[in-house]
Amino acid sequence: MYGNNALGIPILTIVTLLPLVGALLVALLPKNAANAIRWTAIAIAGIDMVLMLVVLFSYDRAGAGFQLVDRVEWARGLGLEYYLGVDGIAVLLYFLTSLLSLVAVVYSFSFVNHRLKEYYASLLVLETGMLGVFVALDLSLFYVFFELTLIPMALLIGVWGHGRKLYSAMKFFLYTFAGSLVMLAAIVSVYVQTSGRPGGATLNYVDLIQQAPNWSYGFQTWMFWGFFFAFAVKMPLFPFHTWLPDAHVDAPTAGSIILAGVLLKMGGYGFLRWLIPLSPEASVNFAVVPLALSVVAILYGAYITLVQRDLKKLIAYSSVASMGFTVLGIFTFTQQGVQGAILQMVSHGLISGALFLGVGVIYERLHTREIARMGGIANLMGVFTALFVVLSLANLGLPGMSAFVAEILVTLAAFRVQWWLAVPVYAYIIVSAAYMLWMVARVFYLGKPQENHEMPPMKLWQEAVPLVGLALLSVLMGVWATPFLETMEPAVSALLDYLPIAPDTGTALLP
Amino acid sequence: MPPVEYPSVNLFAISSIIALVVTVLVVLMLAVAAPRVRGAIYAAITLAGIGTALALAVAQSGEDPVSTFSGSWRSDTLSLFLTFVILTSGILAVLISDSWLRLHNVGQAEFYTVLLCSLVGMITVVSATDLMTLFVGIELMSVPTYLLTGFAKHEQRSNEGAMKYFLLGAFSSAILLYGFTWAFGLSGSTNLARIAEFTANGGGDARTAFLLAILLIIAGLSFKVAAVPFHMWTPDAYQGAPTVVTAYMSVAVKAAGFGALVRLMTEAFPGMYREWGIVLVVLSVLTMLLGNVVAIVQDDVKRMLAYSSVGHTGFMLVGLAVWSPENRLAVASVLFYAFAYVFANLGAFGVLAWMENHGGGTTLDHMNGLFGRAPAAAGALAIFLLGLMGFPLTVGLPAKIFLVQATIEANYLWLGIVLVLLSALAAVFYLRVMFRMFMYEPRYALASPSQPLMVIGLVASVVGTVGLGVFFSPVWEYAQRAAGA
Repeated sequence: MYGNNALGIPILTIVTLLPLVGALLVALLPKNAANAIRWTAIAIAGIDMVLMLVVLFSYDRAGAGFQLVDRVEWARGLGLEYYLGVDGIAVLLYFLTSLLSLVAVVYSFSFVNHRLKEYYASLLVLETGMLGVFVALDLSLFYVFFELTLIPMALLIGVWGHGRKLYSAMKFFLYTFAGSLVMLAAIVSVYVQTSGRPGGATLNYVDLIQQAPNWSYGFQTWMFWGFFFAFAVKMPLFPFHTWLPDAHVDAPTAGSIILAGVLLKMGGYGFLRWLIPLSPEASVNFAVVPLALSVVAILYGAYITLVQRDLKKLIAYSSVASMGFTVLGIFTFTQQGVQGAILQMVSHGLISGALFLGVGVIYERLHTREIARMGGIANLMGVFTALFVVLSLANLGLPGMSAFVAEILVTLAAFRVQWWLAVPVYAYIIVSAAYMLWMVARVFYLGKPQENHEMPPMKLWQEAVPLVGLALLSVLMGVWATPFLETMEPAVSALLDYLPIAPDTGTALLP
Repeated sequence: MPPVEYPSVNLFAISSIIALVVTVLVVLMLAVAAPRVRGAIYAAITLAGIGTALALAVAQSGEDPVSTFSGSWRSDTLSLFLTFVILTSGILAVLISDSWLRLHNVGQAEFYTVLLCSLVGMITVVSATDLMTLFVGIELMSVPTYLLTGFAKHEQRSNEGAMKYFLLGAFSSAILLYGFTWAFGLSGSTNLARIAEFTANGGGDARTAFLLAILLIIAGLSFKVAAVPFHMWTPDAYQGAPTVVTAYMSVAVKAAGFGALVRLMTEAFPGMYREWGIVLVVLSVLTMLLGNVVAIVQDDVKRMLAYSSVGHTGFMLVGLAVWSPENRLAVASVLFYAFAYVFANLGAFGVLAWMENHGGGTTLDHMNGLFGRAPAAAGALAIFLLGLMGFPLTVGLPAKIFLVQATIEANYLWLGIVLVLLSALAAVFYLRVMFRMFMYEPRYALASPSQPLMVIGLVASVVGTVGLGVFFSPVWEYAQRAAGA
């Protein structure tokens, strides 16, 4: 019932905690051994990636339950457990985390020269936190990992960022912290609620989903709202998104890659893993709220992206719209919708991670992010232009790329639930094409850069290889999505079967 | 002529304070006999004395509750838990005080004497089950802390703080005593158990008058624990006092004050918990709100921590306010919080003292770039602040969780939510300090005198903050037993 571990070794613990060990190693190196620090960090992230492939290949795609489980009692007598495991909902995001962390670590190689030790230690601690979020199956452990990501990310923005970095770091921290403290109160409520159970109090996922359907509607309502804010802020769902543009614009490139690529996904994952299972009845009834907010997020996100003059901000705002699709998909409660939502998270992780890296490439050469001061880059950096344009097209949902598959699935699901839910999506398609193409035209094709800057070609390992790799993965998911969808199918079906809705009707309860 | 009856006396039950009193005498005699003693000899003797007291308290912990001195003293798990808290803060206080005393050439013998006396007072406060003994304990605790506050006698602020603290403290003692008088006059006894019998049915005809007595007592003790609106002395006394004294005072006096509140409310007036519960709910909300909001605008970290400690009083009051005879978590959560708070808060003030000893200051500007200058100190302060914030893997998180759990148990969920929201607000000012330490460029240089005992004290506090954050269950179980006794 609690899942099994076919591999026999605690591989998830190793993968999750290895970066933390790496952070300690980095911290112990002498301050001036710059290259030793860099290579250690790369080695750790690389080994972690290799181990991640082991996880990926030993994962049984047909299995419905949790796999590769590690389970130890943590606080004796209190019912808290150290419980890790992956299922179809988590495994792709888990993989994505490791991949983007490696990209971020490698990218930073020559671009970060200031307080190196702290920088790489922060990145590696951040990696552990994010990895832990996707595999923790005990609420207490989940909370620990969820919060663990806050400090290193705030440090990355505040120390190695640009512009109003302190303001942005503070805003990022406080928004998320406030949301997660409300979640903490909800977690404690769960604990108190289950303490009357024969087995004693528990925060274990598997035990909780057996309890949750019996909870009173009032308590489920509290569960829904208690968890909602934490994940909605993280996501970020309109109107809780205002920290995102600030954080992105002021974060260093590696920070943006991780922020957009992985951190936002923790919100969507949280909806699927905790919020919905803990409030099965309430989340079906309240689904209209996240649905409405997601539609607003898609439209508002798209329109506000239109008026951005800062390249990084433009991509950041487009994330608000993209993540709106995730919420829309999840709360349709249909197989396509939820699968599309997860696919959208993975796809957005790849694409936006790559786009932020691309912004970094431009910024390192022109030292500006203002679109008005760019132009004509296509003549100077042909290969890079090709890559960035492909990624931009991917971001607007061009068929053949991953975002298209995800968005079409979500749109279909929304259409089946209520046809008018899909209407704003069509508007999004037009508007998103408008801003992405406008941006591409202004940055790459029209005019020429106002300042005479050297435009050296891309650095192979730091810039070119990650960009190509991420773009290829996006294409792969776009043309051959079946294995990805198959991987998540059993877990998604299990989740939907668990909800009190007639099969295949989704959120048909909407008025 | 009937034989004289002596009250039954169990000296083992008061062995902790006997050990402390003997230490006081040794320290004083040593100062007279060998006035030129140098080095850490006084600190060593004091530590040995407190250590003995702690060992004696541990020795009692396995036994059944002992009531002695005609029922005016009780040694049970509740009093022993708080005795541990108080003696732990005493040990940490000695460790962090040593270098300050020596750098400023302040009388060590006097300092440790006064410190030990206040410890005796605090243990009396948490063990007393009679209003008279309790009052003696409170005075024995308070007078030494007034003295400690003014210990930097050449500094105007220290004198001002001591004066304010003394005047308001004396005032509050009078209010408290007045409340005791009413309680005694109405119930006819100073013994807590007898008073409980009287209040079991709500006080009967004397109900209104008894409510007045309870209000006066709550007001008097609110001064001691720094609850709004009786907190006015706190910022000045905390800021004016030598930082090492503030570190000690802010945790130990608070623990003892809460001990008295818990004893009185749950053992003397359990029958009227609905009435005093409401009063404490109001006080707790006001205290949390004011402490955490005003702390945001402070520019001096020491004063900020003073206000934040007012906020923490509010958090702890929440735990007591939701008490009912069925709610076993309420008192346990307060006890756990008091213990958790020792490490985080004493540690935070300790780092400030460390910086002052290094020639630094305590304003926000002095925190700039501390991580570059003194990574260990900055890291330690960050851990303490995260502990106060209630961050995972520090002791602050379980402490807050248990409080919230107690509110849910009592169907006071809204109070728990107010608590977590204000904790989020509190993050603002803790973060500001951390941002300065890690993200700003250093502005002031630091000297580097050696402070071996201080380092031991701070390391112990870090170990306590993080260790209890992960392995909190033994302490929590003990706190629950103490609350059930």
